Amino acid sequence: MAEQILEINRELYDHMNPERSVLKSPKGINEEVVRLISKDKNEPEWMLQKRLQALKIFQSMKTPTWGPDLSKLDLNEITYYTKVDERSHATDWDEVPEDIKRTFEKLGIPEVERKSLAGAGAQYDSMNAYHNLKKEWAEKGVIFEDCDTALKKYPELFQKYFMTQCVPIADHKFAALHASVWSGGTFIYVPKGVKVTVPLQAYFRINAGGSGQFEHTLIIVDEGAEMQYIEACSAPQYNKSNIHAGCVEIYVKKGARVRYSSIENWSKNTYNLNTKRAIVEEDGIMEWINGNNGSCTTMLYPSSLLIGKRARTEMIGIAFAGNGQNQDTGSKVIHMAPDTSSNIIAKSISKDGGITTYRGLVKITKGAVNAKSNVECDALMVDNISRSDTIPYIQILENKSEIGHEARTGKISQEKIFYLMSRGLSEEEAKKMIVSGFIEPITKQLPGEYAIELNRLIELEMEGSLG
Amino acid sequence: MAVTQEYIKQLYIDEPKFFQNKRLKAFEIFKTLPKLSFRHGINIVISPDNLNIDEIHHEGSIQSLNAKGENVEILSLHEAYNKYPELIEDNFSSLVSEEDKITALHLTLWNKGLFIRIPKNTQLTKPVEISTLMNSKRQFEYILIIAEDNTQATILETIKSTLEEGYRSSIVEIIVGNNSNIQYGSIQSIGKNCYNFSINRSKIGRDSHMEWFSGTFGSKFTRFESASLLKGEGASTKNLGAFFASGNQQFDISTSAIHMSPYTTSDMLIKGIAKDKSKTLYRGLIDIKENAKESNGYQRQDTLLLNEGVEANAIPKLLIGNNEVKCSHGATIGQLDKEKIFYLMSRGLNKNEAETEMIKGFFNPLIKKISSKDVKSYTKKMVMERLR
Repeated sequence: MAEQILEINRELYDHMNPERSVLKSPKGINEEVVRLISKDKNEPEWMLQKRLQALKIFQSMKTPTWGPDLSKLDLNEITYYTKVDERSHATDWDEVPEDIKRTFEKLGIPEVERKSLAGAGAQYDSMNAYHNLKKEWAEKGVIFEDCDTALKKYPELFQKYFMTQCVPIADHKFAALHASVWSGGTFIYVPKGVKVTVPLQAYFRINAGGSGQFEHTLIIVDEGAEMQYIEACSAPQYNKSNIHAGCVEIYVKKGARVRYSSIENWSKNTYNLNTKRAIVEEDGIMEWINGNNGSCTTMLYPSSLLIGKRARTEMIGIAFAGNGQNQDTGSKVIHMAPDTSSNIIAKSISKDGGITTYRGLVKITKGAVNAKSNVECDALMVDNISRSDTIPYIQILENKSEIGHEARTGKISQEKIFYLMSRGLSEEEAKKMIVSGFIEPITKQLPGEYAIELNRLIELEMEGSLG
Repeated sequence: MAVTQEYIKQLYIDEPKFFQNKRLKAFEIFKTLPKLSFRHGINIVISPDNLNIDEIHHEGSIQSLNAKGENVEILSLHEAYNKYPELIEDNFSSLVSEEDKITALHLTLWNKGLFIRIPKNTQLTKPVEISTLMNSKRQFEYILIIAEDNTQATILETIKSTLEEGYRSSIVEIIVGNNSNIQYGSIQSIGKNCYNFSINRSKIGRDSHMEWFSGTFGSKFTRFESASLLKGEGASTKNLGAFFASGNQQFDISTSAIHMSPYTTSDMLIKGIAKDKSKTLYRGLIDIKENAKESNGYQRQDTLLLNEGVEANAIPKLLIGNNEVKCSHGATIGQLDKEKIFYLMSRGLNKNEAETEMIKGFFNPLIKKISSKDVKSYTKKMVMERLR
């Protein structure tokens, strides 16, 4: 079968609106820019100081060289702050400006809304444009705000949890960058014992070309509470290097349970250097579900710190790398208490010269008696110009623990294709079916709309170019 | 005495120019190389304490690298150079170059070189035995083995020491021709206060098979690597290893297979034990190059932790550049199964006996895989000795 390389129709995801920015910081990053952001947001002094401190750390740290090549990322060419307009807190769909609405429509927000999901926060260039939380949850004390508002309304909670223990500002170069220029994002607090039964969700989007996206997600789920959060990203295709250096911090308190699902589909000129981490206390459960199929380069390693007894984490990830893409992802788990357990499933598909790398860490510290960890990596390579690497780090300091790691790499099994073809499927149908079977462990964990979206995305990427 | 250009020139004044120049070049590179790094990833560190590589110099010449075998040619490297200058020039340091300070220093100061040639169409019935005795405080050994086409041989190197302290560095390069089957076992049990840096590498020709076996028991700090370059079509390699770390020992063991041609196969199995306050690291690599279609790679590593206070690390890597391959790896780190111990004890064994049986069972799949009878029985013996 002839190799047919089709550029997939990304219009749905890469649609760009005419810019409607109101305030734009000058390109590049320096103290002035940071002060401008903080001033424009009318932030308390401590936040400005934190930003400035982070800026110093950022400037003193070297760009990491152990992973994908970041030498083409020009940090001086990026606009670090863009504000759209004043009407950023719409609660009613009719109030949302038309062009923003069009973008959201293409992304399916109203669709999701109609399905009576709990709330939808949408970020349009560094600001929240649409924010809605169902009344019933608000009555139970659930806070679902954009971070800028939360900083003003809940200063104590914010100061206690914002980039303190979970992701400290000096964690790595891009965490420091994030801390100095962060803007927007989501703040969620679920009080003790409250079980939010339908997922909370938000969409993020970069729009103005060359502008970065540094949204912050801070989630605190108090003792015995439960919550699911869904985030999906999309960005319009643009010429200049776009950077996304978001930060997600999740606190899973005693006996709480959190599921965080995200599908990141940044346009193919975006450097996605994201940080996601959870601190899980006693009997807490943290589930990560991550899909990465956009961006030119992704470096994203969701982490769970299991600090309390019997804390548990499940991490499921899928990465798709097509032409020109380098998906460097993996899960990190640090077992710091007895009877903690982790289960990691990582899947990847590489195609058309794309590179996928699983770079993970399992660490069991001394005293984490009876910790158990299981890691499975599965890589599918569609053609022989692509690459797939698996680089797991395993560090064990407690002898009373069990760790297993397994990885497989290979192509689509000829026998399976043959079997399906003998049942009447065409070769392409057979391959599609095998691929959707391959990613099923991920899609089956996602709510319906997202599972369909992810399946469709992968299908589009695979279409016509299998062979 | 510190190492300088003059010092090297003087020390090796009688050597053929070829070697002298190599040493001088290696030393030049040594001076420009960065400080040794023992960090892997963000926080895995396995490093020898109090080792200052810049202060290590030559110390006397050693007479302690000997080999015997029938139907093979065994020469010192200098003799071999006089006899086969081109062969040596082509192959000396062809697989191991000045990659870091350790290798650069080695290529500057190697003081005993051994050459073994297995002539074409030779099938050895008895193993070639190399006995290495560490009896000098600074020891740099170099072994070059040329296995010509259609040969079959087992080489067993035993490494011991008369000293408790010292620095040992060794390089083994094996060039395997076509249609050959070579086994190389190296079993190291040097003094408990020695530093040990060993690199064993082979280049494997068409339809040939290279089997490595390594036993790491001795030393205070060991960094051991054995690697196979699968150069010819249809080449295959097996890389087996056992380690037993106790006391304050630190082992950094790595095995790799570089698949450079189609239809190549690699199979690795490394099993080890960490006891007392020891620290171990296993690094595995299967690297399948773009053109190595229809290749298979398998890698497996298990570490058993016998008590509190140990640290075990593993970094098993797969780098895959072709899709027409089957490749997988697995790593486990864990403790002895309590239920099984309980069962054995219910059958009348005491705790110690039960654990010993379990450890024997742990190594059994590895020992079974060793092709050479001699290597097999020697490994068993060494494991048993450590269990006592």
